[in-house]
Amino acid sequence: MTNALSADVVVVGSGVAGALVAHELAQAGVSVLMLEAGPRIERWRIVENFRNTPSKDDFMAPYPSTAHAPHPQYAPPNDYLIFKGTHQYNSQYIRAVGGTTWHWAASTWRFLPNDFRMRTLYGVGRDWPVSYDELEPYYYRAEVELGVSGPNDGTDLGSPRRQPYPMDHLPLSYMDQRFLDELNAKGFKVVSEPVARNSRAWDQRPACCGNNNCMPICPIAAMYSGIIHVEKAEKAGARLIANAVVYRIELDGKRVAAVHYQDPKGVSHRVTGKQFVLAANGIETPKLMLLSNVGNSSDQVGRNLMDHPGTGVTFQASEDLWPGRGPMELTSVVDMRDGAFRSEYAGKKLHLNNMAQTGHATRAALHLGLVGKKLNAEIRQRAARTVNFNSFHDILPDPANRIVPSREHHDSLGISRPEITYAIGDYVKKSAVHTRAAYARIAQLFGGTEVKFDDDFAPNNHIMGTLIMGRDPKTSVVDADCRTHDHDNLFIAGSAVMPSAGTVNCTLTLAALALRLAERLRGKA
Amino acid sequence: MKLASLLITLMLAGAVHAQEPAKDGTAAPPVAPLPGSATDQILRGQYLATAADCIACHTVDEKKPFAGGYPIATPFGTIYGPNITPDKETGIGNWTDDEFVRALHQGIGKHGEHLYPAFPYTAFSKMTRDDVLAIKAYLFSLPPIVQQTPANPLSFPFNQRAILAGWKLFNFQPGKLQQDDNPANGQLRRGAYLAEALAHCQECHTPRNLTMGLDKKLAYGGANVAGWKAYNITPDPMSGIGAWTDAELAQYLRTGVVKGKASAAGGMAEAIEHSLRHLSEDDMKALVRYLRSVPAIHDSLDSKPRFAMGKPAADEVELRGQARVSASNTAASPAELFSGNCASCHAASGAGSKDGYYPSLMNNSAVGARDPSNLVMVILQGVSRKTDEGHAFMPGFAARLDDAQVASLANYMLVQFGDERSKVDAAFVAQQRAGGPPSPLPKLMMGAAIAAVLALLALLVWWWRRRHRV
Repeated sequence: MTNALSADVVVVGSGVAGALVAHELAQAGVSVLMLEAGPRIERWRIVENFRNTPSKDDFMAPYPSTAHAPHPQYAPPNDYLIFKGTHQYNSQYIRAVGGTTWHWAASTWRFLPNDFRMRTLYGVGRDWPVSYDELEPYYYRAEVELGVSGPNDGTDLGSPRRQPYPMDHLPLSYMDQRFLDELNAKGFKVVSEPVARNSRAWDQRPACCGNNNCMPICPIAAMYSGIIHVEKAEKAGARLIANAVVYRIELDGKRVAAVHYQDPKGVSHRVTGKQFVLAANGIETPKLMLLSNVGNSSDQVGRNLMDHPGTGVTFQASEDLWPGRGPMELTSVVDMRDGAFRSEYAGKKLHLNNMAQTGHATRAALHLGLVGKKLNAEIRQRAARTVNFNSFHDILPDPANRIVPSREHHDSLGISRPEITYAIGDYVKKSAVHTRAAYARIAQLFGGTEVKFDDDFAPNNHIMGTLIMGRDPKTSVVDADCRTHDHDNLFIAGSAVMPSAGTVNCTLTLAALALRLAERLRGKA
Repeated sequence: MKLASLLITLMLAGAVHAQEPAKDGTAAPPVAPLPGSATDQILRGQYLATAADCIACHTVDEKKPFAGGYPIATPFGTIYGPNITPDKETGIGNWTDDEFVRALHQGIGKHGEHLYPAFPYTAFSKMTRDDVLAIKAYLFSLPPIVQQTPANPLSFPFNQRAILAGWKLFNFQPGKLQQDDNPANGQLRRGAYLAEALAHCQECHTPRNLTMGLDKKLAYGGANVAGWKAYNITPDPMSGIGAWTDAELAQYLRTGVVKGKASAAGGMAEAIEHSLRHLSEDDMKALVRYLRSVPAIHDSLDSKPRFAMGKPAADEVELRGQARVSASNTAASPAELFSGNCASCHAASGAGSKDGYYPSLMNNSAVGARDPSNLVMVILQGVSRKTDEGHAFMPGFAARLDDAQVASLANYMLVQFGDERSKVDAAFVAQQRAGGPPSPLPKLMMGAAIAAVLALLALLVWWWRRRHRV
């Protein structure tokens, strides 16, 4: 059975990228239909789920995976993603209205101008077909749309800006201030991080009050999430169908004629439109395109999968620092993001984790076999002194790192599950050795004991590269406007188009690209 | 004839129901003083214009103060506050002193037309001529802004300003305040002048009679304004503000918040933000003293002050360890709805934050009042109040919760933190969403129209019979 569904612009996916495009176009009077595979879930329900779940560290726990649109879960694992290769790309993403920014640290960094010219400057990776300067106005518009607070005190973050941040940054926690003062005196560069988190009431949302659970859910929407623009888009006239799992793109010659989705009962629906925007993240979008044999004349769809492989360190400081006051992340160490070394090994950004350590402290204290007052004292001391740093390493786009639709494994609707082949190369591993030395130095500056390094290259859920942008249709999937080289009316919104990973969270860059795409589309629809 | 004038008066007085959301941003009354001898008069005028809260109804865009266009909803259409900048074309640049005084004192416009009493000349009539002219001098010291005020799209006969004469007959006594001249009562006299002439407190806090004029017998006894309850602020200790200290009243009018008593939202937050907080120390004391002196009005249903209600919630214990992770958007209980939507700021117990930025829901007038209007309005519209204390902000949940959910939440809070005798239902929430109870006027009009048709028919029948009777 087929329903007659149609719109000028059909957007597949309702995360931050899709919602920004939908909102911009709906505001301009364009008819927009968003198709979201996952369900609509209210913030208060997610908050209650977070409170009810025992696994507070598992940021996916409050977001139940649905049978018709499963997403990866790890505690316990649902094995939705199938891993091949030497490294497990055990990424998190949310299939629900609003998408994965329901939980994130809300870091909204701009890339460095040099991140766009990796091949030219350092002889590695790829250049972007757009420059930082071209993107700068869209970066600013994205900062306004998302509501970004950042250091307006003259701090140089390396990405030139014409306008101040929409909001000043939040005050630092005691711990963050201590690290900033101490590390900056010893040759590091620690800065206040720009974040899509309100430092004052903004856009009808309140200021952050430090609930300290940005992940898995900001309970008061002081932190931006994609749902904000979903609701704005709907208010502006866009329509959204939840639980609509797009599984096929239908071509008519070189143009996309329709997309097909299944509802949770498996009933298929055909949706027609003039322009199509795929915004279902860097795993589900290439899966859909490969299943439909669309846009892949370059054989690059699903390849060049990137993330920011992370390493970490945890230690007991020799003074009380009390992590957990304010939001989960406030500062970053930025002096290793760029330099001539990038021809040899990866740039990176380190960040101090401001998540409350009471849970970890309690487990550690119990593990010591303590009881009574001693247990109490131990929990208290560890909660005050446990320090954790993490990092993002720049990874190079490698065609061998890829996602394909599984031939053997399918979900309950019969749609192939994503199969991921991934390896961490020497470019990152070499950098991680240097990162470890930096961690050791930081631990030493704070009298660290029980110093534990985590060298596992943890995922950071910044899914990039799988629909890579470039000038040459033979080696890339989309052009500088995020339009697929193969199909005039098929566009990609999201971080999958990014040709380099840089050293910072990808959301602001994907938001800037989405706003730029919407501007181009407004002229066409 | 009498009915017609009644209808007219009802409609006109309905005009005070402003429905626009608060202007986002604090109006900044201080301007650079002009050089010259007029400076003192202008500065005094600025203070008086602030005390009279002119900006509230004459400003839409805070970058264009006094340029008009502020929409005021009435049952018969929208009335727009006009441009009162000195622009000669679109503002009041051509007005003479006498014309300006006549407008404030008699409710008559430049061309002799009657003004709609949404403009509170019933209060401004009590201002001295000197003060009125100081306000004019201040307004004329501002840059003229060219902005045409939209026409008032009222339907016939309400667009006929002549009928306002009828309303004035019933509800408008121009002239000065009746005050004694006992030297000991200077502060009281000043307070009366502030409350009655400048700040026009009664426009919201005094209920209206059948002709929609202020019911002077119930002065300051509390009234409903566009879905909000402007509370009883007479000195009655149960029903009014008799149990507040002078310092608390002054603090409330200055900051909009007194921990353990009340937090201002809606129109009161606007009045504090734009006007009351700027009063001088002496004037604030005088205003408080005057409010203390008006006749107390007691409602026999009130046995405790509205701020003395509620007990801490303990449902958190019951909620945890029971429910699993769920994808349902239907709450299992009102307590769950409260936990997920409210407790992150107001705490699971409802006690708010220690510093009071997130107010306690117990000992809170909006929750403890027997009339649940403000509780529901705050849930729907949130709070925005900018003062020297910073920006008190709560997001509205109108777009996030449906009528039944809001009713469920409100009832949970009324039982837990407020007056458990109060109850709301989804229909009440829907009505609040639409800006409060509908005006009785359309119904009265319909009744009048039917009566008129029936009378006409009866007349025709009588006439026909008479003609055809042999």
